Amino acid sequence: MLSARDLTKSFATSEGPLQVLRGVSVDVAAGESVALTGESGSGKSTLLHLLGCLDAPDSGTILLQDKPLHDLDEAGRAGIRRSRVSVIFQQLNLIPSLTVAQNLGFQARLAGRLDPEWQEEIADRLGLSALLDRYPEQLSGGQQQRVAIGRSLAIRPDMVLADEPTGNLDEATADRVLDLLLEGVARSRSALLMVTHSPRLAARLGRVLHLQEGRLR
Amino acid sequence: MNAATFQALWSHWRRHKVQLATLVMGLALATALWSGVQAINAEARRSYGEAAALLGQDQLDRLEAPGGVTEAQFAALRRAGWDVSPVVEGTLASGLRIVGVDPLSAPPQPALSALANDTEALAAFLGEGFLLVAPETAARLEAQDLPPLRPSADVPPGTAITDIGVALRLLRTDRLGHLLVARDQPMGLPELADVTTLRRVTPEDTSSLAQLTDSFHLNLTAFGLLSFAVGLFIVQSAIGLAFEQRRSAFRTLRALGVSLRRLMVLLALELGGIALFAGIAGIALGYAIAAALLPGVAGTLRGLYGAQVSDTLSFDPLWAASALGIALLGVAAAGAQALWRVARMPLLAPAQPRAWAMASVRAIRMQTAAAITLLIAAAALAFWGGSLLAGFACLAALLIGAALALPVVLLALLRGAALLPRGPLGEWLVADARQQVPALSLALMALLLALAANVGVGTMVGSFRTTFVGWLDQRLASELYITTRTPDEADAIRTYLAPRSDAVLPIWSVGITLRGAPATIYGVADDATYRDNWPLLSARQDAWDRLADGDGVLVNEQMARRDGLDLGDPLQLAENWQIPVVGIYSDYGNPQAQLIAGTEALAARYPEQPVLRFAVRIDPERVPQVIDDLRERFDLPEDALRDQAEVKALSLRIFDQTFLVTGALNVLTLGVAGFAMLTSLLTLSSLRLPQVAPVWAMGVAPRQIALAELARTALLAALTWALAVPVGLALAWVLLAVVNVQAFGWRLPMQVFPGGWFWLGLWALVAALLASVWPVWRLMSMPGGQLLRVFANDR
Repeated sequence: MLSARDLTKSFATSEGPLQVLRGVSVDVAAGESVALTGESGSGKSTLLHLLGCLDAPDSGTILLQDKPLHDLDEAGRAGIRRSRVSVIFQQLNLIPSLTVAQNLGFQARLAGRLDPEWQEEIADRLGLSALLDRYPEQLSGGQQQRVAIGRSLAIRPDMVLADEPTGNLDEATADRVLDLLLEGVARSRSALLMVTHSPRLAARLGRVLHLQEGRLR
Repeated sequence: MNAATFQALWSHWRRHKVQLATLVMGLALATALWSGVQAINAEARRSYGEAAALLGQDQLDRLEAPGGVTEAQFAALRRAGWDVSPVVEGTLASGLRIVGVDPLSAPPQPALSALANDTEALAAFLGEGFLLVAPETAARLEAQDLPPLRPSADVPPGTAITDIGVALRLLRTDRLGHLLVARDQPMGLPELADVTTLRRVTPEDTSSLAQLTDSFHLNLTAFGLLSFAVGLFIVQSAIGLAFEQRRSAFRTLRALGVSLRRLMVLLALELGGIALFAGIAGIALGYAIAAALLPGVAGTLRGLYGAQVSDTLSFDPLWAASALGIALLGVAAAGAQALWRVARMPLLAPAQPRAWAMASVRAIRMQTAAAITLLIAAAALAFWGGSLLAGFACLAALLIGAALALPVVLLALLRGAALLPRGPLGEWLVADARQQVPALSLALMALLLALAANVGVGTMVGSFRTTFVGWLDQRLASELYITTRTPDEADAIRTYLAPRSDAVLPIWSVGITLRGAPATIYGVADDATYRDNWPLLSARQDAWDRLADGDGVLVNEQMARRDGLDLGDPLQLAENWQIPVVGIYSDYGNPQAQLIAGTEALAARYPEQPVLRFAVRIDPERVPQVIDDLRERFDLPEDALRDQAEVKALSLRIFDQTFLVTGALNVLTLGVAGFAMLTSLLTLSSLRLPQVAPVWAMGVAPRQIALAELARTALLAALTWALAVPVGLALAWVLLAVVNVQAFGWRLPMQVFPGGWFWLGLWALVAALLASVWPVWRLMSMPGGQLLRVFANDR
């Protein structure tokens, strides 16, 4: 479903260009869950951002269901982010000025794909039904990540990209959040690519990819 | 340790240069507007002082009579041994004030002291004559047809001192203005009343320019204060942000062993240094503003009060010192809250910047309570204040109360507006606007104050102008106005005009002291011109009949208000002359009490009072011809004949000039408010990443986000404008019904000008949008990578 070939990416620094990705190729099949591990600075988040159309590669190709994403302009990438892939970050996923209910439905409404029954089911499954009128600042870290998962699943994306979604959580909460994430992607038939530092959590996913110095090992 | 700590604190400003520039510019602007107004006031007061002190007129008694003093009256007093000195004063068509003196008997005067030691100069002064003028006045008069000019730094601007003979010739009169009575008189003099019928007036009896213009300067000061307050909003916002961003640095410094006391002292020193620098910049800017506005103010004061004020500004070190003082005070006021927070911050408090300026429920409640209290106080002061000071206190309470209420009302309106929009972006926009209100509240308050001041002052000036134009039409019903020089000339002109006009109406007046204050009684003939046109605010039905029969007088509004007079109240005008009030008329622009009596009643009591002025009813088309005829036949000077259109045009020009300065200050205040918006939006733009980044990550294009940002600013500005209109109208009402009545003694009917509000709203919108263009552009041109940093800790 998602196929990336020979991706390279560098960033300008005060000491010259920093090569972060050095020709990465990766395939993720529909419904598959993949963990992406590696040391800090190995390029995990950068790869995730390229696959999630948050950034553009310097070279290489990305195909989503055979549709090329690598040469899209900003508007085209925005369209993919709105309706085909969903990204969950480590923190600050939510819009602070909107309630939990509004945050849950926000992306689905942007994509013109709001399904109230599906949203209610998600809220119920994620244990958010009692929190719908609260604002993000009134939630714990685990609760905030549950809302972020719910929001990303609300559009039934082809693929969920999660960048250390449990990085700020304790072990027990992290396990619970991952349970919900795996259950959610299974129910929405989405693929999952998750960046994590934790070998324990990585082991719970279908496949593990390890990134080192900008290359997959 | 101090140096290292200070370096650490100062490094914040090195990395946030725009923030530092904002703080400095905000404070410099606030200082400039306040000190600029103070410089203008000081310059005007200096000129009043010089004018009043000329010839010791602010200390010596004077003898005077309506219509002037004859040479025979002067000679009789001298013969009786009284040490009196003649003075004649008047203004030429060019606006030059001529003061004619007798240098041999005049009281000691710095301008004349040079003549005392220079017999040649004295001979020239008494002989062919010359005018002593200030150097700046000399430069202005160079090309005019006048006697030779001699510069003297001791003469007030716009004034010429000359020999009395020269002055009589220039002013085309044969009557002296008044006689100054020397303080030390010879022994054994006859009683003054036995020698002359002239009235003795003490300096306290005459209204000094300083008193007359007090209200005008109070208005200017109020405007300066408003501008200063608006500028302080910028300063407080910049200081608040800088302190919020340095919370973690403060915690670290304290954890490293810097005592709270040392930290506070260093922060105060840092702010003091910035205030000093901004204060100096503000002084330079204030001087430039004052220099630019001074000619306008001088024109206003000349037109309104006949006061001669220098067009050029002098530099006063005391003024500069006080401007620096106000800059330091301003920073102390604006930074007090931030310093207080640092002082109370626990050492282990979380160091992340709180949602900046996010108002807690408690703070909002307190603010609401303060706003309600102030608004109630404003209402109480408006209805029961009863003094000019109470009027200004009412204005201050109204404006501060409204500013404090603004965030609360905006939040309530936006809560209601949340029900309206369709679509996720619309909902986000309104919800986001609501969250931004506390952070933007200071800038929005500044905008509210500036807009309300504009609506208020615009309504006042508009109401005043409309009323004034209507009033002029009624009051100046006659087509031609003539001022003659002597009773004989007056008789000749009246005889000449009788068969050539519909009516020749005498305008004559007697100066009296009534209830301890100077007043003027005008005598009017029983004519339809007055009955049909004279603007009466309230009157008995038979007022004009009673006036003609000598059974009543009309009084002007300011006298009625000042003395609490109503219809039917008796007035003791002279020893055997008690007469009831039968009407009250509006008399805009006149600072003193005035009465109107029937011609015959007045003539019976003041038979020697010459009638030198006339109003002539005539076909308007014949006016130019009659003016030419009169000039040719009677050799009348330029300003002796005034047609109605000319007088109206002159009055309106004076009126418009009066409010020119107010208009300029209005625009400057609005400009400062626009700058406050810009600085707040700029500083907020870097804090808005956590709000904007998730929306962008979910696939909303940067262009759409930019439009939403602009729409949000426009929405807040529009709502602020909508709230500023009622506040401005309340302000106008206080100005017209409270301040004006207390300051000038008259009340104007309030009129509204919705067209002006529309344009003001448009300008507010344009200013707010312009202010948000740069911050939005900065936000939108940010590389995606920078937005992504919001989400992760490990990059």
